[in-house]
Amino acid sequence: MSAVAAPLSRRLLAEGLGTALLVATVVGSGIMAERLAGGNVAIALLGNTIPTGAILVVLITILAPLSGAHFNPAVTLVFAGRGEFPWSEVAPYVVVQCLAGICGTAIAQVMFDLAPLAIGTTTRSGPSQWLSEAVATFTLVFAILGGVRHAPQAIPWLVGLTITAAYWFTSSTSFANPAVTLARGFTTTFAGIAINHVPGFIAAQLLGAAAAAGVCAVLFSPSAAHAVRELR
Amino acid sequence: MNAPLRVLGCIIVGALSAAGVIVFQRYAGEPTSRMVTALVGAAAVLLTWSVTGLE
Repeated sequence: MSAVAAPLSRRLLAEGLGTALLVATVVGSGIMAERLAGGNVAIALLGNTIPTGAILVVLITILAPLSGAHFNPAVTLVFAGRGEFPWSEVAPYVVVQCLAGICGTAIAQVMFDLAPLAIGTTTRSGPSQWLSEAVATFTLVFAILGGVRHAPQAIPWLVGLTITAAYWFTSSTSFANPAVTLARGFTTTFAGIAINHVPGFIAAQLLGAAAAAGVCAVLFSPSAAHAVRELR
Repeated sequence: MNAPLRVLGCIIVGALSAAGVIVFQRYAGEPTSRMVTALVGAAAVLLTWSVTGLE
């Protein structure tokens, strides 16, 4: 996921397209699921979870060779912090991810005959939600960095399955992505979040990502791998 | 609709759009234009204000 070979403009296009399609899937499937579930929130959440996990596998598989398929400012920052992504390109990546995410929300809203953007009103705040976001992002970054170390070809599946699982073991339904969180602040539908609750989520996500980066630096370091080989 | 939150949403989209123009100008080798940046940011604010009022 840290491959950066194509020209920046092409990579930004890939990041933007990927993030927009990801958010369109999250928001769109949330609207569809809510409409079809007949008031059963568990079924609606399941209908939101499966498309999200599935599209992540698809998007990462086809776009990772181009842009690294971050689609997530927390992931971009982690790779930059590890020296595997240039700091000079962090700002363009993050700006494009955030703008494309909002476009993704607008696309989903229009597909379901709603106003392109709405100011999110769904209350998602408090220590339990923030802890959930920190844990979800920790798990996501842990899966990515573990995948980079041990199973690079499996990363699309690792990310898709991690998010699918995290939808159900966190009270926040695992946003785990500052760009997606911001984009979801512009919908009042099933996947939405009150726009004034977005900063708390983003802060928790960045803390979780930083913690995962720190743990993985120890756990997956070359010296740790060497010690394991010695034991064998 | 909560007006302060609507204003906040508009400011976020406007600021991001302006940042997008700056990124484009910097990496496309275009000469930096504060006027264009401000115009795009303002247009984004107005557009967001308009579409969020459609609900």
